[in-house]
Formats: sequence, structure tokens, C-alpha cells
Amino acid sequence: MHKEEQKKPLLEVRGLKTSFFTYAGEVKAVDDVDFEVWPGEAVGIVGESGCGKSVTSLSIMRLIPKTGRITAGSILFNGVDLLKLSSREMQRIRGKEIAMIFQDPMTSLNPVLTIGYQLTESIRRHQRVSKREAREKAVEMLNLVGIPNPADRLSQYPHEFSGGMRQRVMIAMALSCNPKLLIADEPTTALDVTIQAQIIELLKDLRSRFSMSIILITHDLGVVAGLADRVVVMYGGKIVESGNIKDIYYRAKHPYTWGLLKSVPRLDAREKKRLVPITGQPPDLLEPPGGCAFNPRCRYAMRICLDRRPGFTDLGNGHKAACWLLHPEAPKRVLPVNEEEQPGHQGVG
Amino acid sequence: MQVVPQLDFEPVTRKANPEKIIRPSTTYWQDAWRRLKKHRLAMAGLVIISFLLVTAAVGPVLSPYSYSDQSLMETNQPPSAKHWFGTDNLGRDLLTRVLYGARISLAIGFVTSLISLGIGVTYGAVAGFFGGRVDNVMMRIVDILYGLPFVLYVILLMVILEPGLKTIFIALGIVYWLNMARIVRGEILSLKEREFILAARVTGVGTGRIIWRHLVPNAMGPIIVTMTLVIPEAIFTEAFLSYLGLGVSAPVASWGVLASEGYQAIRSYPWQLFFPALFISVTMLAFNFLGDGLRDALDPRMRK
Repeated sequence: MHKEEQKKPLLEVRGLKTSFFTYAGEVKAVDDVDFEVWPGEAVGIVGESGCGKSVTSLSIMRLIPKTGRITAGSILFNGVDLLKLSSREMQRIRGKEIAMIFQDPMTSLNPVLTIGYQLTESIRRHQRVSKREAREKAVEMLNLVGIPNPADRLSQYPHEFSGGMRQRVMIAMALSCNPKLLIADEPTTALDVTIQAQIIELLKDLRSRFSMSIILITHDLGVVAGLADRVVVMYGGKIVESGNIKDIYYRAKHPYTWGLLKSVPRLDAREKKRLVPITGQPPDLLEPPGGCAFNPRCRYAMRICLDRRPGFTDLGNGHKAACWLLHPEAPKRVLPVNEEEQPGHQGVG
Repeated sequence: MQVVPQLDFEPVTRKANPEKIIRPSTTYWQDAWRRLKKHRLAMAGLVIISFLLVTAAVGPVLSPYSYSDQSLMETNQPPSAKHWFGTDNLGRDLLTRVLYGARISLAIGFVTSLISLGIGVTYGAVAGFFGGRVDNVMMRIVDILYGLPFVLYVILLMVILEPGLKTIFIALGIVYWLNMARIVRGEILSLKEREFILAARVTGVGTGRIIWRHLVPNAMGPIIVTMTLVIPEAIFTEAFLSYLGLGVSAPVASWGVLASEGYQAIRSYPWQLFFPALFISVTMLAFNFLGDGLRDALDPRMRK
């Protein structure tokens, strides 16, 4: 949902380029990415492994590994360019303004510190409260994310929690300072399906309760459908399509998005259909293919795709895609995903 | 077919408040202690060490003799009811001297291991955490110090400072932190890449806090084991230095000094060598057993 009535986006990523400098040369993990997150909005970033989703989020946090560097662009958060802040100012933003949760709750909690210590640490770091108040806040947060007997649980260690419970603890930690933006990097990937659904429900609930924005990074289109308002599809370090959730699911225009949608089982498929994988491998970002990065795997690749990078075509309502098929003179293709689609269906995955 | 009473098919009535099914919380240390208790040799070591510590503390006080009282009427006495360990060539009670020596030797062991803890952990943690060039320079310094012959700079130190306990602390301290620094650096190097460190950074935790509160406690196992193994080494090194005449000076006696004095009379009065040597060996064994047991007990992968 495009929110014209609100004046300013919460987060504006403009022309972001992040590269890793390896012995083999420069790897452009994120290459000229633009997107924005409006207050209260949930944005899904979707793509295969290695397409630059996680690096984008770590760039926002300014925590990319040492071999990497942000080479260009700006990241405006509430109008302030995060890339220009000193590391001390950035530290104040992390956890307080922007929080993050990770893929694997098994390894994201320090095994030798109690849950209570880890929870109160970030509370006391960013808020001027006494130890007791921080403890009370921690109990309140654990209660909020649905952990029974929170007061007893505070003195326990991570190994005494199950995977789903640990992810809840991570969420409690992330939300304990009421951040304006939560970056969830594959929050459900390491969990089993029933727990996944619970965590997504929890995030949904907390999002409206705290009126925060969420960036949801995932390769699971089902998870995105459950939570996001808008979807950004990335491929080879670039955005290939973005738009609101209905446009992406029902009116996708980029062959890569089609491929993603075809490879996911859908509850609303009318007859039994085989899943169609996207053939081939994700591009080698050391030597990305010329032109459109997707061309080696694209069933519709044309000559122009091999040597010229497509620009974005605006499809209205904030929906845009970068594909030569959308050029007015290109041959018309029907979206293979939606051939038999009925509008109005929502159940995906 | 088995007959089941009809009543058994009644639906279960449940209590409104289900009881908690949380396993009682055991901390890392409780777990480690439980594992250590199963390790017989380590427990034997621990008992011997505690016994030594107690006797070193109260023994010289309870003894009717002082470590420096000479009695020229009773020189070189064999062990007897009056002098359990016999006397030395100046008629001093050997038991009192051995117990007093235990104070000196154990103090040397513990202080050295504390110094190595302080310097080694800080140095290793900084090198490991910052990595790259900082690590390279810091660890090359460690390599160079490793290469210097140890006796050489102890002698140089003795020349600069006056010989005595303090000098021995300094000399042993600057030798034994090297090992600790290497071990801590290695641990931190692998720990800092773990995801929970990234997670801590994401919540805005600063560098100092990450090193001291998040990384070092995770390396506590190897640190404690190294400390335990430094103690016997330091005791032995001190004995060796005393043997060379670089140890504490008379009338204060460490086990090393006693052994070196006893050695001179090994043919005629062997007990003068036997008792200090026995204490040195038993202590070394006890600490090594304990260190070995701790290594197993503190390894989180051994958790059952």
C-alpha cells in the first residue's frame, strides 16, 4: 500500500552498493538497490540464497563483515544518513531505533549468559532504568511474546529453551526498546512449520501493537504473504521487481518472480500441478552476466537481455519491474503463474 | 481379549492450572561440578590440594618449632617422634620447614597463575578480537618473548632487582602469560565469528562489553584449565631456580631451596631430600590431575 498521505518514509535506501573484496576480486553483493519503508509498513525482501538480501540488511545496520565495504549510496533513517554517522552514534541506533532478529535462534543467544542478563543488557543500555525496572520490563516482554512463567525463565540459560522459544526470546530482546524498525532476517527458516506460523502470527500482532515497520527477509513466499504489505524481489544483488503484495502475487511482471511463484506449492491451485523449479544456478557475482543478471536462466531471454541492463518500468500503484519484456515494442507474454488464477485468493504456501 | 473396566474409558479431568514442567535450572558451573565429581583422579587432586592449602596455612602455627630456629644439639636427626621429618644440618625441624615452604611454593604458583590470567587474558582477548594487523603484531611479540631463554632474563632481573620473592613473581609472571595469551587469542578468534556476537552488536553493545561480558566468559573453560596447569609449572620452575641459587634467600625456604639443601647430603641424610621432593611431586601430580579433570568437566560438548 503506497502511503502518499504520510510525508516521509521511515527508511530510504538509495543507490546502495556493497561489495566484498576477496582474493578473486570484487564481489558486488548489493548493486544499486533502491527501496523505502514507510512507517508501520512491513516490506518483504525475497530472493534465492546469495542474492544480497542479508547483505542489504547488514548494510543498514552497518555491520557487514570486515572484507566488505559499502561503496556507494545512502541509507536515510528518519531523514538521517546512517552511513555518515560515527560508530558511536550508530551504536545508539542499533537496538534502540533499529532492531534485528536472525535466522538461527540456536546460535544467536550467548550460551554462557542467562536470558535475563541478555534481555536486560539492551534495555539498560538504551534506557535510563534501574536494574529492577529493567527486570520488570524483561518479564513483561517475555510475557508479551508468549513465554510461560517469564519470571522463572529469566534465570535460565539458552540451552534450556526450545528453538521456537529461543526465537521468541530473540524477538523479546529486539522489541524491548520499542524500535521503529525491525529487520527480521529469515526469522522462521530454522523452525518447523507449526512454530513458523506461530512466530509469524506473533510478529503480526506485535507489529500492530508497537506500530513499527518490519523488513522481512526470506526466501519463503508463504511467509511473506502472511506478513508483508509490500514485496521487493532481489536477484543477483539487484532489485528486479517491487510492488504491493497483490500485484506481486497476481500481476507479477518479471520472469524471475514468475519462477519463484511457480516453485512454491499453493493451496488454491485448482488441479494437481507439478512445481516448476527455476533451472540453473544463481549468478556468480564475481563475474555477473552482462545485461540482465537473470538472462542465463530466463526462458524468455531476448538478444537485448544479453548486453543491456533493463530499466524499471512503472506499472502504477508503486508496482515496478526491471525487464525488457515490458518494453512497449517487446513481444507480449502471458504470466504463466496466473493463467488459471482467480482474483481474490490469498492462501499461499 | 483383555478386559478393561468401563471406568478407564472416562475422559480425563484436567486441573485448571497445569503444573510447571520446567527442568530445574542447572548452570554451566553446576554441570561442570557434577562432571568433575565423577572424575576420580581429579577429585583426589582436589582433596590433596585442599589438604596442602590447609596445612600450609595452619601447620607452621601449630608446630612447636619455628622455621628458622636453630638447635645445634640436634643437627641432622633422622625422622623421630620429636621431629617427624627429621632435622637439617642446622638442627631446624624439617616438617616445619616443609610446611612453611609449602606457603612459599603455593604462593608462587597461585600468584604466577593470577598474573598470567590478568596479562594473558587481556592481551589474548585484544589480539583475537581486533585480529588482522593488530593481532599479527601482538602475537609476533609473544613469539619473540617465547624465543628468549628464560633463565637468561631471570638472571638479568635478579641483577636489576634484589633477589627475593617479588623478583620471582615478576620473572615467572612474564613467562607464563605467553601461553595464556595464545590460548585466549585462539578461543576469541573463533568465538567472535559466532552469531550471538553479531546479535549482541545488533542490540548496540559496545566493544569493551562484547570482549569482557560476551567473549571471555565463553572461553572460561580453557582459561581455568591453563591456570591450573600453570601452578605446578611455576612451582617446579621456582624449585629449579632455587637449585641454581636464584630462588628465595635464607632463612626463608621454599620446597626448591629445601630440595637443593637436601641434595648436598643425599648420601648420609637422604630424608632431607626425600620430604621436600615428595611434596613437590605430589603437588605437581595433584594439580595436573585436577587440570586434566577440569579440561573434561568444562568442555560444554561433554554435557550429558
